[in-house]
Amino acid sequence: MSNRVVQEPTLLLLTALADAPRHGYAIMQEVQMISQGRVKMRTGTLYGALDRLLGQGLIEVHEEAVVDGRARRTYALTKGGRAVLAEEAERLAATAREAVRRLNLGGVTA
Amino acid sequence: MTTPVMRLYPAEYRARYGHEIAEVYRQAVDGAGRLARSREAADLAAHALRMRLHVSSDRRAGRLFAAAAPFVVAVLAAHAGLELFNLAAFLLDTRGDGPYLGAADWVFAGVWTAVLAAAVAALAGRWPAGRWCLAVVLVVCALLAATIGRGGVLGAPGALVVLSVLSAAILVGCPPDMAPDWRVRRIAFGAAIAIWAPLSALCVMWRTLFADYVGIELALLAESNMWPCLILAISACAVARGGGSARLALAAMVTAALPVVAYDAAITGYHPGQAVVPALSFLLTAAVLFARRSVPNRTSPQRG
Repeated sequence: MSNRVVQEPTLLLLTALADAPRHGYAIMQEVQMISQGRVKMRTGTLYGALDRLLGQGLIEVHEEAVVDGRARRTYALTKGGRAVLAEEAERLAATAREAVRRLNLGGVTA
Repeated sequence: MTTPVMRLYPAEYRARYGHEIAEVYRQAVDGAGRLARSREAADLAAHALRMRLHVSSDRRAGRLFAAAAPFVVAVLAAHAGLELFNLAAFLLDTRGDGPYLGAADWVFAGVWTAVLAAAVAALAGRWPAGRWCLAVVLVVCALLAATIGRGGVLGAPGALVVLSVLSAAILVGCPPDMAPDWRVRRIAFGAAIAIWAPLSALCVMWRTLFADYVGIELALLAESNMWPCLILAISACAVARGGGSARLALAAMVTAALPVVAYDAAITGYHPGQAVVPALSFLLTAAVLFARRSVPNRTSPQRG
């Protein structure tokens, strides 16, 4: 519903693709690692999200290859996806900076 | 294991992504236990069915269900709270011959407790677990209403079946990758409490002052769709005010109203006056939302 912030599963998925193109299973592993095991994206959920992000132009199919006789696509961020992720990362970082600043202020006065 | 599940996908999608999805599934369940395999397969089946029904998150219908789901949960939480409140009032009432709750009432007390617990878990805690628990409880509730022939405080089983099935459909239709964020859930939860608390206090006051068994609480519970519409209107306005899409908030509100309007119509039988409260709520909310849009445009492109 909210357009203002990127929802967490989307944020994790975009983050998983920020440094390199990845295939489906690698994305699942990255999401789990980035979230420190808190979020486990299942196969159906992952492909639902990939379809949506492809439709929104935030990611693209980077490569379609056949590995060991099996089809494998790798996905990558588009320019738009990179911009959205950068904006969201900056927003989160600004909030974190402010939280740390206020905590320090609280520590001084306490 | 995947073959029967993969057959659930539309043929065109399966031809394009089937091998890739099957491979990712195989890697995901490699070395996993039976429970983990079952969960993975269930998630895959749910995605396949969403693709077939055109309610995946890349479709407008999927996004609409995702937006409406927290509102539906909020209305159900308030409804369950009122049902439990009413059952407790009957139980604790010492006037006359004392409490006269039957076995079916106790069964439904359990059902409404489960609905309330699952709804609170979904809104205030873990959305995925709460949503699925609530959907399952609603299906059980519909089955019980149909078999026992009771439907909550007014004893209208058909109406309860309609409410439960439509609400469960919206919850199940919500794509898992578009779980409502914490802010939206908090707004919906707050709206439910804001309506439930004064309504319950009003019922207590009515009982205390007028000593009436079938007083205003029953009228408020079933004869009026005013309070669910108020929850929906407050939620939609608050979500849009916080930067959400006004159009999506309004559409979510109308979608979330369908189960309660159908419930109300099933209880009282349709009459034209029945549509007045929802229609006025929708128009008022639309006016507020679009007035907000016409002054400062704070919306940004859809992201999800």
